[in-house]
Amino acid sequence: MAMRRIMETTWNDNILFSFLVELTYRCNLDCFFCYNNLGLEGRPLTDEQYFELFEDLAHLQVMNLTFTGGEPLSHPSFLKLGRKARDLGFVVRIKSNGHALRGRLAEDIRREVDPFLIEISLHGARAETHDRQTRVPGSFERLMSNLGELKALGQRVKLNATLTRWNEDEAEDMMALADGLGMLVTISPTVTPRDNGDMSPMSIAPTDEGIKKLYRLYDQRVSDAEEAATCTGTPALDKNCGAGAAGLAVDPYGSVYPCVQWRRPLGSLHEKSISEIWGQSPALAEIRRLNSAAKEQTLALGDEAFGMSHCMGLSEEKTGDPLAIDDEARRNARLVQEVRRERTLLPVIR
Amino acid sequence: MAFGETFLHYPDLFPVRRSGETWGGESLWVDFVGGPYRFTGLSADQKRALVARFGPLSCDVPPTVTADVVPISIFRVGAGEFRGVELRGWHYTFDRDYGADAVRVAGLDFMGWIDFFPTTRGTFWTPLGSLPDDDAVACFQCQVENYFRLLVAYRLVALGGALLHSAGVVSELGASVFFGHSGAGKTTISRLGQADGRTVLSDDMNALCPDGEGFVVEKLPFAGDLGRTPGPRSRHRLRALCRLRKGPNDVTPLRPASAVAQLLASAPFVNADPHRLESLTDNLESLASRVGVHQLTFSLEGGFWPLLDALEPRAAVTAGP
Amino acid sequence: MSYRTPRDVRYRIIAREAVVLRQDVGETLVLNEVGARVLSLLDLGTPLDQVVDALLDEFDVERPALQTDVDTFVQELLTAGILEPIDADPTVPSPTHAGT
Repeated sequence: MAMRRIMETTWNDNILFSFLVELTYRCNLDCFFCYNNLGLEGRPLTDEQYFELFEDLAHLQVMNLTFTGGEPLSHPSFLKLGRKARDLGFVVRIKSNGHALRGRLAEDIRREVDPFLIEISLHGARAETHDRQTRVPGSFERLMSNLGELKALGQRVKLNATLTRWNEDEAEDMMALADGLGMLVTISPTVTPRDNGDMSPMSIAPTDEGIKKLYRLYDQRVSDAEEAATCTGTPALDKNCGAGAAGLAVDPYGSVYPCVQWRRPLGSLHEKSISEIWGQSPALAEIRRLNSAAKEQTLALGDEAFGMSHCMGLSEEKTGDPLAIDDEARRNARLVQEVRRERTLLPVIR
Repeated sequence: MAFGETFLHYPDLFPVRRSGETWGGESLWVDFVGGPYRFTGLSADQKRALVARFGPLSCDVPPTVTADVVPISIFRVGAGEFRGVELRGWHYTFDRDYGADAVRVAGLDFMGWIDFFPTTRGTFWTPLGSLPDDDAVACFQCQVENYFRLLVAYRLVALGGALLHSAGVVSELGASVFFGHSGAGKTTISRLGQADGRTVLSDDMNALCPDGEGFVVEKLPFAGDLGRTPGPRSRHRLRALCRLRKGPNDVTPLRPASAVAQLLASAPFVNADPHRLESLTDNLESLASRVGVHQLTFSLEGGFWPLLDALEPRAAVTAGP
Repeated sequence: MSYRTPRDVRYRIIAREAVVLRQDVGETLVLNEVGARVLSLLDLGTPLDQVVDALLDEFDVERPALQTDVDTFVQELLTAGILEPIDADPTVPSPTHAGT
């Protein structure tokens, strides 16, 4: 309840609450559908610039600081930057592929960075599938071993999976695998293009039936939580999402974006501080206006918008217009609604 | 020890994706056998260091060639990722991990990949981007050279040739290449060749590549006691290929099987790669068949050059082994 | 008496309220404006009696009532694991919060 109010406050009043740092595009795996723009070039931020950024963010009362990449652990100063983030009181999250999270490095991160959560990518419930997507033989076996180590260290871990044509038959098994490890898992039905517009990852986007199977699984698993959420009500938000309202992202070269998915540059940390960008960027004002417009647009759609997740960043990348609801969002909404209709046709057993 | 453990604090973080953060936007072409090679992602300091190292082989604009370009992407890595190595008494080496499609390497303050498909390309990570003094320049040049000669060794195999630990000596008749184990006399025969008015390509490594008529030898811009000074491309028809031994002057043909075995032992890097050994062996069989291999026993007093000059170069043949 | 937030506690002041996360148990709670002020003053190392003095300047309230409320509140924060007395283990440094 309290967090719902905080969400409303931060989104509606434009209070920066979460910040995502793409530390590096270097990676020790080579996932087929990775969204990073690998051709991006520039001058990477120095450790001193990161320190200044973190201090500014702490001053702005930003609570969540997420490190991602590439593989963020591959940044040569990862531990140093992580320690600084912890010392400044951020709730630190790390998005990692988990491949190197073992032994001394895992212990060092637990002790020195003390992340609230490590989100680790899972690509399938079988080694063959996982390794096919990561393109590193043995990566599944390594991950299973590393997850065991992290659990033994008492580290909170959540698994993130993207549903693809290659793993869509393993969604239930991925959930069972996470259950067996006592970890949360989120499976997203959306494969995204690369940040440079390369559409090749879409070649393994999941099928309609694969997505429906996933939604049915979610239906079975989260019905209780849904009921609880219904009881407490949904947040009264005046924006489509937190992009540019409660959250920002920065790439390894200091370009600031509304979110990791919406790559519209708001300014460069080589030229301005994050406080200046947050407080003065005309581009950010436009992002917020679009964000509110997208919300109004979704409300106007009524029932048609049920299950629709309109990502303005994806829409801008695919169509050039952040307010255009792209085919992928429409498809997902249609599939959610079809699954919902199936449910209402079934006898209710209490 | 597992791959990388000697040199890296966290071998698990060895980059698999061939990308990352560059040191700068500079690029440089280096054109010699197997190339042209195109370095990208360089800082201005790195570019200056490579120009100094490769001299007239380097240029800013693409050479007018029809051969495949071999791209070499340079990326940043933190110096803190590398373990310190006690250099006193250390025999220079680096770790290699051979895969079907690629080889990865980790060495003293560098790491990299050599990919073979669809064509050869290199990816190289170095912590040295800013080179404030001569020591830093020399360290960077050394890193690049150690990686580059490995890449060139593979590139030559892909082109039907080989990199040979050898001495290359040129007269007006053509080039003679002398190979053999360490101490067999490569540097000695090079000095004797110089004293005899011949030109030394290198007393350490030479590139042997097939062309329509046989094999050519090309001077490589890599270290050795002799022939290190960078110069323009220097290619010569290979007319004699000899295994070296010290002793009374004599030249005798080696049997093909023995010749190939001896050549394999002198073809560094690739001869330890199970995925490319067969290709290398095929190339060396072709080399032995087309050029012929002799054993030269030579005296420190000299007098053996006429024996070599009297060898009949084999006619160009198109047959394989 | 001085207090600080334990190592696993993270908090920020959002619109004058404090969002507090206890990392170890994954529990989040929100403190109102006065609670947020008490927490941030204490976490800056302000002794409890000076916290009361500061609040008297900022809010229209009588000292006895305020003292009682603050004492009760601090006890609740101690019980909830959001505060610990600084004497508890002087060898363990607390994360430095951005404060207010």
